Amino acid sequence: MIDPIKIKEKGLKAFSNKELDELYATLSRGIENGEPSKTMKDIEAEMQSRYDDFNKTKK
Amino acid sequence: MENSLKFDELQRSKIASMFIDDKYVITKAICNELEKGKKAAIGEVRTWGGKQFKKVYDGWEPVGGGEKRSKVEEGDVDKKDAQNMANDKKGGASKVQGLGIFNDTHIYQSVRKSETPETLTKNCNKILKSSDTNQRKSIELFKNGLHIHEIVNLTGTPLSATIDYINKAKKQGEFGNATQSSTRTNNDSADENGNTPIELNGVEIPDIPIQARWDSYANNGTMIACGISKSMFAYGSGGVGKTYTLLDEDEGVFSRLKMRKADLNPALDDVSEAEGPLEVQTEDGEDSHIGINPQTGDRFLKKDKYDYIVVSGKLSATRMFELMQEHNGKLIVFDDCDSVLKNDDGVNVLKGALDTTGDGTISWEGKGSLTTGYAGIRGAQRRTDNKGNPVPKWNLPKTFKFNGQIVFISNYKSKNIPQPLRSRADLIDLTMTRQETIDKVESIMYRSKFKDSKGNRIEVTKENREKALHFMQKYIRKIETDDLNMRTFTKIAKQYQFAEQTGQDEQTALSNVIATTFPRKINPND
Repeated sequence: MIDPIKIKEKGLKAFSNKELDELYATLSRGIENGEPSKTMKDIEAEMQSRYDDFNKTKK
Repeated sequence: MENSLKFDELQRSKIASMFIDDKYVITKAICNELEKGKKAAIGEVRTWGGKQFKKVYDGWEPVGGGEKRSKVEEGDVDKKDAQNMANDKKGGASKVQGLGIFNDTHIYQSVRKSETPETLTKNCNKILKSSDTNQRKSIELFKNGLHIHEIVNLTGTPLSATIDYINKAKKQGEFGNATQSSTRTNNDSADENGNTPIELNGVEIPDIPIQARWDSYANNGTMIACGISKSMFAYGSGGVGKTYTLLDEDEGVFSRLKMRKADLNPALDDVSEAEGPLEVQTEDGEDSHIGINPQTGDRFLKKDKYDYIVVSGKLSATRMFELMQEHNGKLIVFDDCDSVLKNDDGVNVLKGALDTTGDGTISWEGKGSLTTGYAGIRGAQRRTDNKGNPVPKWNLPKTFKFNGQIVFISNYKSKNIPQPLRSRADLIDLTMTRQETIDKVESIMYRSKFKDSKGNRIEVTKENREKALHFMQKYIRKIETDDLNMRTFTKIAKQYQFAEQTGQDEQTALSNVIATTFPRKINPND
């Protein structure tokens, strides 16, 4: 699994879906009653972008 | 711990142990790397990423402290993430309790806000324990207003799969109304800090304050009054001012815009049951909105004398269809007529009436004949009795072109609004949380009018209104959700007013208020 500190160096695109899934799950476990962090929202946006790209390719 | 929630206590404690202070976080990734191979003994030092970490009884810590950071730099995992990991110490149970409301944007935020934390938790647990697939569970949780990270957490579904499920459901129209409402509010993209929330193709939208929704409701009412809009469907908790905002005789939008109301109550005006239409006499003894042909004795509606008509109470689909023909060309306000939403015929008629895209043609597909007691309705044919003599009743056509306007005011919750109606009318969701309801009561309590059993105005002092509000504020969690409204406020304020006028002491007054507000909590079988 990726070290979130490395996100700064490489950017989210450098990581696989599985890696991002794992990181997101880890970060989300800590939220008890509050908003998701910027990192989490960035990962959500990245995953959405991948989903859109994948569906475009399929068409 | 409930297995269905998939909280992994072991993982949780590992993560917690890796949180050193609020400036330095050793991630689960590092921990996993360090744990690889032989089990580490306490005090053992291992290297990862060129840095050394020492095994301690509850996790790992950096050797020499040299790796502690002075600050979290931009682009790093941010402070919230660090805090998230810190919070992780608290464990899964607190998370279930913590399904509270937070200020995040979500197209189903209003659904979430309409629930108490207890009912929300109960709903979520019910979904999680069901035999549904993870896909279905994720979608249902999303519809309850849960954020994606909460769904990931509760179902154990990876983010990528969750995104996939939500997007597919959206494409299949499962979020019909909510998605549509997102397109209406997408422009308000900046939050109070000026940040633009991330939007996942409409999956997330910025929320607007409840007062903005009320303003929008009044604004849409104005658009209706001005003829710009054809229809509006407003829904949400009852007794909080939906009717007042539009229809109050002094301060309502329609009154202020000088619209003339018809003095009829057509819900009671069922010609199939009664002799003829109910007439409301004005003070001078003349029918204000119903005329009588002196030659034939037939009744007709004076359509040049009114602009809108209010229909309230139990209403059949048949009667609604008849009313729309009788008052065609006028604005018809259906207030608290939720009974028509319970059957397909009613929903189908409303579908036609609310639709702004077609030419307005509506057909009746239900059983039974359609009748009216008014002459002069387009396409209507006079009926005859058994001997062939004409009677003052007319059969109405089963298809007609509706060129009036419709306002439908409902007490239904968002999830109960039939899907076909959601996509057709201008929808205004006025569902409120308990606190928002109390705030709303507070904002209109000095203006609200009190009436006696005969409808005459009675005075209730400012102090007694405030006492009633304070009572509701104090017992905000004890009053049933459906009772937390202006009606309860009115009831309580009247009790205080009566107590004052009759010289009751405070304790008696309070007892009376409690007795009329809360049921007894006893088991009658005891």
